[in-house]
This record gives sequence, structure tokens and C-alpha cells, in this order.
Amino acid sequence: MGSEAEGFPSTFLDGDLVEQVPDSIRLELGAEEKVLVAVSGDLTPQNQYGRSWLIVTGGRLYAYGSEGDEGPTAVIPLSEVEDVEVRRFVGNDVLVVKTPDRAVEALRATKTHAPKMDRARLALLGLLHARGKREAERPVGPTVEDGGGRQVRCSKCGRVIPPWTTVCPACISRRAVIWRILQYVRPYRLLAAAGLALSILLAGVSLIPTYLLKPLVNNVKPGADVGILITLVPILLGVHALRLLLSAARQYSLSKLGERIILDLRTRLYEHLQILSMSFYDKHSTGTIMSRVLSDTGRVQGFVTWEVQQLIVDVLTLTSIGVFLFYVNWRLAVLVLTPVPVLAVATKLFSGSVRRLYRKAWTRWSNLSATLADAIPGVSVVKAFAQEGREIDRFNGKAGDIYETHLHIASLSASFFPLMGFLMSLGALMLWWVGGRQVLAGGGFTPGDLMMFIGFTWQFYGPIERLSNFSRALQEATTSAERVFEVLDMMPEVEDRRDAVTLPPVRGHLRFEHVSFAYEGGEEVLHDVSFELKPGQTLGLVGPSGAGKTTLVKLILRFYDPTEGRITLDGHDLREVRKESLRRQVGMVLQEPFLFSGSIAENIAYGRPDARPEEVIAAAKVANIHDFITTLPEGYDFEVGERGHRLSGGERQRVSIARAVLKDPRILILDEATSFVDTETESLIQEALNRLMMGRTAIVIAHRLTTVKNADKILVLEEGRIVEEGTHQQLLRNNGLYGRLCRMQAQLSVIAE
Amino acid sequence: MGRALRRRAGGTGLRFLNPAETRIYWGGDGSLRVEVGGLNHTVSRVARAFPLTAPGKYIALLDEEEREIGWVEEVDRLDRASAEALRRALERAYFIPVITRILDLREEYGVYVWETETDRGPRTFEVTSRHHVREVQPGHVVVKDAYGNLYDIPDITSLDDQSRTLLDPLI
Repeated sequence: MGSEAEGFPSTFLDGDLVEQVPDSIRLELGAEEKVLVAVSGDLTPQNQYGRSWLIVTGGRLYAYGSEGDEGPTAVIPLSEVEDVEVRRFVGNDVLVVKTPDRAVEALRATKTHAPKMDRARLALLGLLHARGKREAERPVGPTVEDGGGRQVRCSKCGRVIPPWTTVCPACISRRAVIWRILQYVRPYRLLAAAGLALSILLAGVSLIPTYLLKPLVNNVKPGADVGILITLVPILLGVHALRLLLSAARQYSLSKLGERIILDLRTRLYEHLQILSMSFYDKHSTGTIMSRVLSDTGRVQGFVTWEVQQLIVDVLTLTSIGVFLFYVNWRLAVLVLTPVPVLAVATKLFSGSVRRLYRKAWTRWSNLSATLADAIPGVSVVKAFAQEGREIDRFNGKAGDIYETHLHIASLSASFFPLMGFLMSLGALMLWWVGGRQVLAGGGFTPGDLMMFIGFTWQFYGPIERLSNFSRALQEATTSAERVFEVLDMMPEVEDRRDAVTLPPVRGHLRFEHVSFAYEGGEEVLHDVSFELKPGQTLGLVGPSGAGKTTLVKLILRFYDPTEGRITLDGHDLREVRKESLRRQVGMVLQEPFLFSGSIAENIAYGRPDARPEEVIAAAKVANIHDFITTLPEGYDFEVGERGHRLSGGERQRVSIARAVLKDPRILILDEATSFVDTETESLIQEALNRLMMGRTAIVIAHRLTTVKNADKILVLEEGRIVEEGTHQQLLRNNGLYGRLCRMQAQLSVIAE
Repeated sequence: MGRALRRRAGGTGLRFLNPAETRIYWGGDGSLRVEVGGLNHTVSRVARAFPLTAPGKYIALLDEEEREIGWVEEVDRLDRASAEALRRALERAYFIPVITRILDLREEYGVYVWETETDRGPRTFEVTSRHHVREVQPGHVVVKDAYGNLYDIPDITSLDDQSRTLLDPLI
């Protein structure tokens, strides 16, 4: 039982609310009492880890602080229970049962059991409800869903699933993954076969010089015929030249194979990333996506080309040398094998501790780079607060940590490799001792045999080191591959139907019909939203942050589909048209305009790369940015830098307006385009926007109410609902939330003036 | 709230409860109560300002409307019974066991599995990111597991050698 309390009871996984009650408690309750709910927590009332219980029978609620025989810590008749609540604290939750005169802690558990606490609460409330209504016992089962969210634990093996994946890496079939990796080799099977053949040939050829040691040693002695040298030396020369050629050819073909595969894989991955819906990007951070595209694909490449080839070559070398050695002299061959287990074990241990050290070094590296990433962009703050000294100390401390760790690695490697060399020499020395005596005894075993034997022994030990580490390489590669395949297997959630039609050019008649929406696994962020917008009209969206304004416009762009209701554009249900044909007709100017690195002209023409230069300039004029651009020495060819950082906020804003102008969309979405800029820039932007909105259906998200004053219709959203609707004048007269917001902003602007 | 609350730095200052005039106790109905300068409040929440670095200092007492009743500057300066009552409330509001020994710390498929002994009994838990092992002050490490539970190592130098060797690669 103890191990279960500290581990994770299996009942947690299937969400059952009638767990197996331990006998000590079962006996106390009496056999005739029917248990309706039995849930266990993992904390005792004394704040220790240990199993505690909440048990509900037909008439009473029992709280047990432990599984011992101390009896229940509380017994409450169900008729007295008024309410049940879960109180959330740091590191633990408490289920509190309220009676008219007190609040009793009925069950405590760590956050590990948080979903179960909620289920237990709902089950208890269900029981109370049922009692209040008709005194009937309602069966309580695992009917309540988990509170959304992702699965923490693998349902098969119970392991925690790492946050960067949704499949349990312990339960994936390695064979299936490897098979799938090899599919990427298939288009290049000739190249792969050539690489493998070259590898095997190279390994075979490398054995020849060792083999030739025998005739060399046996025949090159005082008084012998020079003919042996005349034949053998040219042969050796040829062998070495052949090795050179084979080695170069192998290197080239395997590199080419690897590069081809990684190119395919990266392209496939990137194409797929572009197709995936926004919800994928909600769930994964930029960093993890980048590491999948860059390092995971790289690891897969290294594996399919070098590791697999090396494995095949090593196994072949090992068996062929092994068989040959046993064939020549089985007694000595057994001697050769004796250090092998030691070598294998030592290599494994060493790579284990070196890996640990490398992890430490890596952790410290990323600490150091985080320090740099903080301090360098923030250098003006550092200087303004005169904290240079502290930043230098901070850096020095971290750099010193890295020095220490690397020194540790160096000292470990410095002793390990000579030690391995020493172990192998011991094997060779044993051969000298035993084999040398055989030679001296004058059996059929010649000095040449001995030299050859020792030569092969050295070649035998090499692959053993590599093979001892192969399982690790295999694990890393399959895990990386799985991460890549996981993305490739993901289906975009907002997908065009097979019978989706191309949206013809629209007039811009937009309707929301009872639209509700919830992000996956989350609460509803839009409830029953309905409105209509005629072609050319402007809609203002107003409301506190988090009210659902941005979500609403994302639905128009079909970044997501509504969970209920429908959106139509000129009568077409958005779900029935191709996303691409819809988005072509919608323009967007975002709160934080996003420019890509490239010239200003390229950024303006982003939505229409084929636009003629005069169109780009015309668009810039409409957007009030042309005059600024002409002051730049590079004009429209000015490079804006990564994310447009070489332009100011107001300039970026107007470039993005020009982008929308050039696209000439029927529907326009503006997300509070005039924040964070000075008054003059604001009026430039406002002018540009007014030109842009002319004659188009526009949806404007505004925090400053002056922006939407002239809108044909204003929707006031609060917590996902439309709470007010009308023109500026109508809403002011209503004197509701909009009126209040207006007065607050008016006060602010008075202060500003 | 008068004289019992020492005001500091005008309206936005912290209202520290004067330890001499403050009494904290558990009521019969299972709620925490504070009596200060003759006024009696129900405390619905106790909140540490620095749960990790100064758990015994700067504790806000809040009422049902989440309004500040006042701040306890230092638990130890309250009278013994009040300090005891407040500690009990804090124990519940912040369950952060102290790791006294690390028996094993291994990586399985990118997840760190910790087998530990804590001051609240043995515990095995999983940590899904190295960023969840955080050095909040030099030598003071706080760990967050896959479910958001916290574990405290106030001073890594007081751990035994094996525990430190296991922990070292992560910090």
C-alpha cells in the first residue's frame, strides 16, 4: 500500500470514483453499507504523504485521514451537507464539505490528483441534487470529463509523457519508427547501396595489410630472397591506394545520401508546418518547433547514414575477424575475447558519466547564453541603472562554471582513453606471452602468425567500443524521428472539405449566426454571437481585454471554425469555401505589425508578389509612408531587418497598411492600429486607414473609442457575449458599459491635454 | 481600522498588523480568524509575498472579498498561539515539502524521474523540463513536477554527496 501512496494509484488513471476501499476501512463501515463514492487522496491531515479517503454511503460521508484503525476523522450525515467546494492552494487541493455551522476538510491531495478532486466534487453535488429532488440514488460513474488539458501520463505504461510530444516515447514501436525512417532512404536506394558496398569493401580491404604481416614477418629475414619484397610491397602500395579511393568515395556518397534525406525531411516538415492550423501553434512554442525542424531532423540524418552503415560494417568486421582468428588458432582467439566484456562495460560506464557531464556543461551553456540574451539587448537598462559591475560578475560566475565542467570532462577523458589503450595492450601482451611460447615451442605457429594475430586483435577491439554505444544512438534517433513524424502525422483541424468551393469575389456581406467558440480543451470564449454587416459598412468591436474580440476576427479568417453556429459571407458558409480563396479577399492590419526580413517593397508586396512597382508605390502613398521611404537612401530597397526592427513602430504600422492596400481586399480587419505612437504619427495612420476602409466592409478592434466613433455599428463584448450593440450615439444614450468606457477615456484625454 | 494598523508611506503602503495588538486563531466553524484592535475578521486566504525566498515574512491576510485585512511582517514576532495558528494555515496554503535526500534521479525519454525522501515522507515524481529546476537564490533550489507540485531544497550544500552528484547536472 505504501508504494501506491507515494506512486500513483491505478485508479487515478481510469478516473473511477469508486476505488477499492482497503479492508481496514471496509470492516469499519460494515458490509451492508453501499459505497457510492470512494476516492483517495495522497495527503494526511498532518500534512504527510499518505493515503487518505473520502467515502460516501447511502446516508453519510466519512473522511479517513489514514488507512490505519484510528477511525474516521469526520462523519457527516448527507442531510446536513449544504455545499461542496474544492479549495486550491500551492501544492495541494482540499475538498471542503460545508454544513450549516462549519466547513470540514474532507480530503486533501497534491496537485497530482487535481482532476480527480473536481470529479469527486461534481459527484458529491450530483448525489446531493438527487437526494433533494427525489431521494433516489443516482449511480455515480466516471461521467465527468477531465478538465480538458493534455494527457499527463501514458495510459499504457504510466510514465509521464514529455511536454514536447503527445505519444509516449516508451511505448512507441522502435521497429515501426526505424522502418519509417528507412522509407526516406528508398528514393536513394542506389546511393545507399553504393555507400554500403563501399563501406564493406573498405572494411575488407583494411584487413589485407594485417593479413600480409604473416608472409612479411616469416620471409623477410637474413639471407632470404628479395623476391618476396618485390611482390608484397607493390601489393601493399596498391591496397593503401585503394583504401584512399574507397574512403573518399564512401565519404562522398554517404554525405550526399544524408544531405538528400535531410533535405526531403526538412522540406516535408516545413510544408506541413505551414498547412497546420493555428491551434498547433497555440500549443507549441516557437523554440520547440524550431528544434524539430533543425536538430531533430539532423539527428535522424546522422543515424540513417553514418550510424546504420557503421553498424553493418562493424558487425561484419567483428564476425569476419572473429571467425578467422578462431580458424587460425582457437586457443589464442579465446584469449583475445577475455578483455572484451571489460572493454564493453567500461565504455558504457564512461559514456554514461560523460553524458551526465555533457548535460551539465550544456545546462551551463544555456544559462550563459540566457544571461547574454538578457544583458545585451537590455544594455541601456544596465547602464541607466549603473549595474555593469553586477552583470560582469554574473557573467564571470557562469563562465567559471563552464570552465570547471569542461575541465572535469577533460580529466575524465584524459584518464579514460589511455586506460582503454592499456586494457587493449594487456590483451596483446597476453597474446605475446601465450602465443610467443607457442612460437618458441616450434609447433606450426610461426612468428608471422603471431604478428598477424596481434594486428587483427587491435582491429577487433575498435568496433566493440562503437557497438557498446549503439543502443543509445538508436534510442536518441528514434525519439527524434518520432518527434518529427508526430508533426507530420498531425492533421490540420481547420481543413477544407473535399467539396469546398472557391469563393467568388464577394461584395462583403458578413453574417454571424449564433456563433459560439471554445479553444480546444478550454472554456467557451464566444457565446451565441449574432450580427450582420452590409457591404461597405464598418463594425467597431469594443470591450475589455480577453472579451473575445481577437478570437472573433480569427474566426472570420478561418484560423478556427466555430464550435456552434455559422458565419456566412455573401451567403456562403465559410466552412464550405476554400480557406485560401477566403483569405485572398480578407486584409488584416495587426496590433503588432509583423514584417519579414527583406526590403520595404517586398514587405508591401507580401500578399501580391507579382505587383508592379507603380502599384507598390501607389499603395505606400495611400498608407502615408511614401514620403518617409523617399528620405531613405535605399528607398523602397531599404532592408527592414528581422521582424522589421530597423523601422519604428509607426513606420511598421504604415508598411502593413500599405500591404493591405495593395492586396485590395473586400473585407478588412484592423486590430487597434493606432496604439503606441505619437499624435502626429497617429493622425498619419488614421488618415491612411480611413482611405483604406473606404468602400470596404471593415471590422475594427479598438481600445481607443475615437477610432470607432464613426462606425456604422459598434458591438460591445464582455466575457464572450454581446452586451451592447448600436451606433456611438445610441450607446452613449444607453449609458451602459460603452458609456462608462467613453467617460473614462474622455477623462484620460483631458489629463493628456 | 485605526491605530492597530501602522500605516506606512501613505495610501499605497503596506498595512502591517502590530504584533502586540493582533491575535490569530481558528474558530469553531473551521475558519481562520484575526482579531486586531478590537475588530474581528474572517481570514479567507493567507498569501505569502515571497513563498520561496522568505516564507516566514510578509504575509497578507485577505478577507472573503480578497481585500487586505493587513500584513504580518514576520510570523515569529506574533505571540506563540497566533504564530502557531497562522503557521497551520500557511502549511495548508503552501504544501512545499523539503527534499532531504535524492535516492535516484534519472532521465527516461526526456523526463526526469526523481526518487526522493522529503520531510513529508518518501516521494517519487517526474519533472518534464530542466527549466522546472530553478535556483531561486545561490544554493537554494526549487523543483516543480509534471503536475505543478513544488519541492524545496533550501541549501544544496547540506545534501549528502550522492544527492548532490545526482542533482549537479541539472543546475
